[in-house]
Formats: sequence, structure tokens, C-alpha cells
Amino acid sequence: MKFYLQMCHGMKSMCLDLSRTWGGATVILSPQNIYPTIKLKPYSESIRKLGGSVLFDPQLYAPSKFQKNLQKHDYWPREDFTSIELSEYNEVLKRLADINLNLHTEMFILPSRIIDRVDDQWGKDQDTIASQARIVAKEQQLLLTVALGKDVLMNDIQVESIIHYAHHWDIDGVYIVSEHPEHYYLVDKPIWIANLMSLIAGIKRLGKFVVVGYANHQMLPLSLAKCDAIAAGSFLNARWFKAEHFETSENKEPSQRTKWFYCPQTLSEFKVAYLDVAHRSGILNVMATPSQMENEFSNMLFGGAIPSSTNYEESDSFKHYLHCLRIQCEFSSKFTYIETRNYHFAQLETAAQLLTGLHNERIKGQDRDFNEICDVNAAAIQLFDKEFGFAIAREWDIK
Amino acid sequence: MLDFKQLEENLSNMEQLARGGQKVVYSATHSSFGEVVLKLFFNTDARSQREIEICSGYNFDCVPKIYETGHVSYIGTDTLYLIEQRVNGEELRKRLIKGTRFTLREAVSFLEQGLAFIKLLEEKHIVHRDIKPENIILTNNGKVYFLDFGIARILNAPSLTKTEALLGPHTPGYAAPEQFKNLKSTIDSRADLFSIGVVTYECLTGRNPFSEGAISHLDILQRTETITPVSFQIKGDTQHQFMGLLSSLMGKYPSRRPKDSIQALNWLSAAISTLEYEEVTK
Repeated sequence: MKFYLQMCHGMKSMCLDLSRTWGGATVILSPQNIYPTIKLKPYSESIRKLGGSVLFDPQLYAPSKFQKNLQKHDYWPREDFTSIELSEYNEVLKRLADINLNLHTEMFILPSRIIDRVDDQWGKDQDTIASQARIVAKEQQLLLTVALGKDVLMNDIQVESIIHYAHHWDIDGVYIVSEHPEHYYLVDKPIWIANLMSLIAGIKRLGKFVVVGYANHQMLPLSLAKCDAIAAGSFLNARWFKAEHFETSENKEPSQRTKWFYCPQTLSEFKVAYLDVAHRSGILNVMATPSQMENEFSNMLFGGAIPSSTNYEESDSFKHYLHCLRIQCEFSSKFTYIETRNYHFAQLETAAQLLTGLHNERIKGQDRDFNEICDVNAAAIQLFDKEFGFAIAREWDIK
Repeated sequence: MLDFKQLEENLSNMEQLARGGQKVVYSATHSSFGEVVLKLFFNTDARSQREIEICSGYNFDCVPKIYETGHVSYIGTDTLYLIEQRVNGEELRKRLIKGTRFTLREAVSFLEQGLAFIKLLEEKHIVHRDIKPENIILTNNGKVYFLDFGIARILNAPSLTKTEALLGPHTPGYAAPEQFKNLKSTIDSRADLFSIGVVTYECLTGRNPFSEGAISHLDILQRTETITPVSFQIKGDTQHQFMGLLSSLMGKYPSRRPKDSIQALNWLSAAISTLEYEEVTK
């Protein structure tokens, strides 16, 4: 499973830095954060010069809402904003096709509004978007957005409906974004995760490419469903899809400024203050980044000094997270389905054991602690394995 | 139109086999065709016509051959009749009632023939929609025959079920959820794959996973939509591949089943290579 950078506030230079470090990265450009439209091209070129590639998320999730920065783009349907809701996509698709050509995007992400319920009208609208895009963007690979409200993935009948509709869409792949149930960063509902895996597996079995946007490390098991890529960004609003982020009149900049450290072997994030506790307790080495993921952004934390006294900055925290997640994505797919499933179970078991040890020292990740989520993900994998495992295992080698 | 007595002139040893809402079925010996089955349809409706059209039009090897069709005056009514090949074998339901279960080898052979039958139907864009033990005859040498296209659907022909109907034609315990929920646009050969999976599972384990313990027709439907059949350990299924395939065939949504019969046959072929047959006492 590949890893893409989901651009959000403050990520323009970060994407370039990471792209440089990695020898190229795929970046999903955010029009909310690069505007007006004319500024997209030079940025795209700088990513591509570093060996990377770009996708462009049009962020038309709530086209009738006023979003200050998105309104500054040429393609945004300002005067006739209701046209999209009347299933008239032609004009906006033409403008987006031009932008995609101009940016040399790897694939053309087609817009779609967020829905709270899958129904026939939505299925037809998606079909219309796909077929009209085929006309205006003949040479481009098409990724159709499937933007889901918080309840959709709690319902497996709705999930099956999406797969059924997707069968008829003339597209190369889908770009899935979904709100989390009950608005928690880490999802505590195994059914939601299992259904997301089922949705991906169902679409993959149709031979289509799948990218999950606004994702985080909890989505690593999506590799078991043969997900092609997940995308994550620095702030939580780029690791967790929230529709209101695209609906507000003012662009609220992220307010949290606590420095976190992602400990990949525990799948948890900790405030640096808790690394200080680990340091004093003599167990900081348990939290140290595994050698395969060691990086210049976080190495200073484990050089012997008190972690909070180091020059570990917020941007380092983000880069470290994205760097580790990228490598975890690479590791998340194995040669066979069974190996991959066992790898994920082992990863969760290891995380749970390490967390138990850390918790004994009162070192916790608070609302980013994965302890309870280990069980959630394990249950989701088990359920997915029971329902889809045999079919996916048989098709594992089919791309 | 023939008089029923004229029809009877060519028939001997007539014995009623079954009587349902749509037809009465007799076994008989025909002077020209030998052992036959005579079907008399009470209503010459579109479904009866379609059944005859499918059976006579495609000449499937695993479906009894139709020798003759026409109209006969039966109890004073113009009645459609059909004379077809009588297969010498045992109805699968009767075997199940006797408590006979398939060995692993028999189950594999049965499933293979069932999938081959569905493959033939796929090529003709037909969904049988009523694969169940009552509609299957097993001969002494293990050949499987499939009967009764009464609710079959030809995918590129007009549907005979009202779109607004809450329930589509089905047999509870064997029909796939999308079939009895009348989700027409989602019905394809994967509905038959579901049914053949259930029948194989039942013949192997002696249990219908959805109707066992159910208290009503609706209860069976609800169970079909909600429960996942118990995954039994079968002797000889060393890597759990055969039961895995059956579970996949019985997936409650089409997206979880093999895409079509060809894929199912490929998966069966892969499973067979992992089996170690060990015949058990029937």
C-alpha cells in the first residue's frame, strides 16, 4: 500500500522537504491551502522536479457552502453554485480537467458532494460525473470521489450499494473520504473499520484503483483489502475527514500546538512531556523509533537529553509521523493475504503489549493512545477476514 | 387441442409425483420416449412459457430433455402440457430426509457439476433462482440434474416480477438476500452461486444454515440476511479451502462471492488440490 501526502494548512514547504528526503512523493494538493488557481502550477512543478507527482482534490464536498479560500478558485461554481446540486457538472468538470492537465496530475480526482445516505439519485449523479468527465478528459485517468457522512460506513447495506453502483461507473478508481462516527480521531467502532475494508475490497474486486484520503495510521489494515494508497497530512484535519472543514465561512487555522511524538511500534502518539517521564523512568528506549523508521526529524529525542529540552519542533513532529507512516504503509502488504493478515495481527499484539508496559509507568497517549483501538482493529480484521478473506486471498495476486 | 384421453393413449404407469399451485406432475412410460415426466400447467402464464422456452431452447445436458409440448383439455380446461425426460435417480431432498450426507468427494463432484451448470446459464444470461434439493436429482453414478425453471429469469428479457413487489420469487433458506428482497438490478448468476453453496453445505453437514431452528418463513429470510453459516471443519479439507469456498459462495452480499461461475470453478480447482479424500461411512 502506497502513502500519499494529504496537503493541509502549513504543509507546502513540508511536502517539498519530505519529497526531497524520500526522493519523491505523491502529494494531494489542497485548493483550500493554495489559492488562487494560478499558484497551483508552480507548486506542482516544484514537487514534480523533486521526482514526485501530484493529485488535485477539488474539495467540492459542500459546493453550496461559502468557504473563503475555495471561492478564490476559477473552477468554484460561484454564480451558479446550485448547478452541481442539479446534476449539471459539465462546466465545472471542464475547468477541473484543464487544471488537471495543467498540473500534470497523475489521476484526475472527480468532484462529488458528501452524502449522509446512499440512494439511487446519488448513484446516478456519480454516474453522470464519471461519464461527463470521460468526455472532457479523454486522456486522463479518472478517480471518482466517494465522500461519506459519518453514518454511512456503519451500515453494511449502504456499503454494498456503493459497490453495486461503482460497478457501473466508467472510471479507473475511487477516492474515498469518510467522516468518522461520533467525531473521534481514532474510531472505536470495529464495524466502521470492517465496512471501510469491505468497501475497498468490493471496489478492488471490480478492478478499480482505490485511494483513501484523510487517513491515519489506524487505516493500515486497509492494505488487507488491497487498498492502493492512503493519504495523510500534518494536522488532524488532514488525517480525519470532517465535512465542516469545507463548509466554514472562515478558514479556522488549527489551534492545537502541543508537540506530539508518534511511536510507530505502539501505533500511539504521546505528548513530549510523557517522553520526559519515560526518560526519567529509564524506558525511553521502548519508545525509540525502530531502526527502519529512524529519521532526522526525531532522532534528537533519543540522544540522551531530556526530550522536551531538545529542538524537536512541531514541524519535526509532523514530518516524523508522516515519515513513519509512509514506511508502515510499505510494510503493510506482504506476499500473500495470509501473511499480510498475520502481520497486522502481530503488529496490533505488539502494540498492545508495549502499551501495557508504558501504562504501568503511567505513560499514556491520552486521546491518541491506541490501547483500546488495538482491539477495535483486531475485531475489524477478524470480521473482514471471515466475510471477505477467502475471496481476497484468492485474488491477492491480481492487481 | 388434444383431449386428455388422447394424450393418455401414449402413456402408461402414470403416477402423480407432485402437485403445486402452478402445476401437477406425473411420472409415466411413453410409448415412444420411454420413461417420462408429464407436467400439466394450471395457468398458461408467462412463467410457464418461459420455463418451456428455456428447457426446450437450450438443450442443457444436465437438464431433462423436453420431448413434446402442447395443449390438452384437462378437467375441461385448456391446459398446457409438457412431456420431458424422466431422470432415473433420487431427488436430493429425499436423500437428505434419509439422513444421507455427502462425503467430501461427493460434495466436490456435486459442486463442480452445479458450477458447470451455472456457467451454462451465464452464457445464456439466465439466472435459475430456484436451486434447492427439491429441484435436483442425483443419479446412481453421481450425475446431477437440475429441474424447474419456473422462476428463472432471463436477464436481457422483460422481468416477470413487479418492480415494486417487496419480495421477489424465492425459496426461503436457499435464495440469496438480493433475490428475495427483489433488488432486481443486483441479481445475476451470483444469486445461483449462493444457492448452490447452501445446497452443498446442507448435503455435507446435514444442516441448512438459515432454516434450521427458524420459526417462520420471515425468520428464515432474516437469518439469511444476518447470520454467517458456521464454518465446519471437514475431514480431508486440510487447509479449510473447501469450506472457505462454500462460505464465500454463501456471502450475504454479491460482492463477497466469486464474481461468476468461472471464478468459482477456478477457486474450486485450487481447493481440490489441497484436499485429502478419506471416505466416511454414509
